[in-house]
Amino acid sequence: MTRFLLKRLGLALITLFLLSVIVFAVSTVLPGNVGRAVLGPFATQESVDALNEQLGTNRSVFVQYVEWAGGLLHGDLGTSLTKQLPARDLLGPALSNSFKLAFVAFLICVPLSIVGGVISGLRYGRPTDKAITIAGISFAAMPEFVTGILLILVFSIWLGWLPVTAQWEEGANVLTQVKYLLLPAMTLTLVLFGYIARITRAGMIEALDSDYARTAYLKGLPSSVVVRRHLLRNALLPTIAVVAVQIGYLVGGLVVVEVLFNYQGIGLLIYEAARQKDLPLLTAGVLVVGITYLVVTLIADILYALLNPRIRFGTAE
Amino acid sequence: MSVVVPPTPAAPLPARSEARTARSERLRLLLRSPTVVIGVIVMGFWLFCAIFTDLVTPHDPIFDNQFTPSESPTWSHPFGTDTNGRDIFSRVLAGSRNVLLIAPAATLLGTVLGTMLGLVTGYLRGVVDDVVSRLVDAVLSLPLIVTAILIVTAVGKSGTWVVVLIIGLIFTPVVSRTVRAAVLSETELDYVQAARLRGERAPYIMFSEILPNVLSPVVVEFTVRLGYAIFAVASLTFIGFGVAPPSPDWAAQINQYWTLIDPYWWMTLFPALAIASLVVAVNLVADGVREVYER
Repeated sequence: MTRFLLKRLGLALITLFLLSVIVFAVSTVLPGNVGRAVLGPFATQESVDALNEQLGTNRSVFVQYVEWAGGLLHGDLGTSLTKQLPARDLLGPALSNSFKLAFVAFLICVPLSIVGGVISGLRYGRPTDKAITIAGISFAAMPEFVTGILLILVFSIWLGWLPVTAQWEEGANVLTQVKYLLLPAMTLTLVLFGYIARITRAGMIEALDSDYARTAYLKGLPSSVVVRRHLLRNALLPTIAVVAVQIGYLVGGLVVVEVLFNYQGIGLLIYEAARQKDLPLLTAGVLVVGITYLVVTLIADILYALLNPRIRFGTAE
Repeated sequence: MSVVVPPTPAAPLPARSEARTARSERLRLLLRSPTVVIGVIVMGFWLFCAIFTDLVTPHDPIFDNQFTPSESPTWSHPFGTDTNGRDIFSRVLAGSRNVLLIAPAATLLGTVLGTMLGLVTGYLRGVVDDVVSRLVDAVLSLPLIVTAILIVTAVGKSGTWVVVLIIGLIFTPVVSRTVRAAVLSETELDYVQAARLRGERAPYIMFSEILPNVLSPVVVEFTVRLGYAIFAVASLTFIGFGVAPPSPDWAAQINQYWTLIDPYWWMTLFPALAIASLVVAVNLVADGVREVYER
């Protein structure tokens, strides 16, 4: 177990290092002249030079990377060009807003998808299974802005039940906040449902096919007990792994959903930084997204290992 | 000491016809699934509209001020008109063009590059494989849309071919990972050993011996990626990092009009339904292909 943990942690650190190199390379080397890229073709040469001087982009790439990465290790994510604030101060609240939205989305999505997947698996090959599977594939395939717009049309504009944007007034209580978060969360839920339900369904089908399931049924246990005690435990293991991967996806989905609902999360921040060509803020935002993903998958892997006796006792990698 | 070289079976004819039977069997299975057939019909419809745009659109999709602007759906304009006085029905019919050019091109690029990378890393293994695998992990820790936004901003411009390149390059590691896994199990098999012992060069073994045997996962990967590509192109265009107006692209229309959704819902709803129909169709087909190939 310790060996597994150390190995997993080491891999995560290497990946993190490479991620920082890639993000740095794209944002610093790709534009050629960063000052020109930020200020555009009509800025004077002096102002471009001045910005390059200020950003330090006129030095060698290696020196720049070392300095930037050194800053990162001290928690310095750089300074936003447009807002003249440390990127950290902007990213912190945005990230916590995004987590809030993701949390509500998962709260709706995970139970719903698992129930959907279990029903689908139990009714394998029948119309109910087909209907759930096709609905899952269809919603998973639709871009978030399409699902989001359809939800807005139905629930905000035609029925008038929920607000169009996710912008609540300052100091709104939790219940009001949840009401504002419901539509964006439902948008993310619809996209995620298909993935999670599909894995749960596959796990159920495999578990149903096993000897222990047959034994449990044949010794006369009621169906609900077999499902709860015997099938779910085994079927849910792969689900945990897939849920973790979907959290990574979720961050990408957040960009579109947050733009659509005008919600001040990390997705909207990245979008605005890109629109305003605020490269330092954009770079920091992208890196934070990558780190979030790496941390979440690391936690999920450890959780998976703890729940899976084959890894816990070191009999399998 | 003389080594007895086993006679190498030189691509026997039965094997080839067997492959053909397998192919027609797969096709038969595919066409038996109603969801696949519906998917193919919808995809075919949009492809037809993309190729014969001038034939199917009742009005010009691009010129401004042809009709009274912002009219809700009527018999003469079943999807209404937009704020620029254009017939939305015509624009929706013409709107599949961009996405049906960009998405397959990007998917093809990603599949070809990814297959090559997967063959090389899976066959050579060792240091090359380790380094590439870690790089792939790093790239995949960023969501596609975020990477695309970063690259578009860094490059400073967007457009059809920029989007093709970006999505193709981001797909490369994803495809390579699948192909690599398939190659790893192939290299254990006798025919690869035999080719090695014959003294064949690595490129020949990779592309002439192994590649034909890992084509199934490549085909599956292509169809699945195609769905994602449409998803990605549409999302990028929606947030304004893809093709721009006045192109009648569906996502570009939504980008332009969704802030007016109340009360001008028809300007957004119909392009949204069009995107939905296409992505669902592609994914139904992809799902069928995966089921048939992975059985």
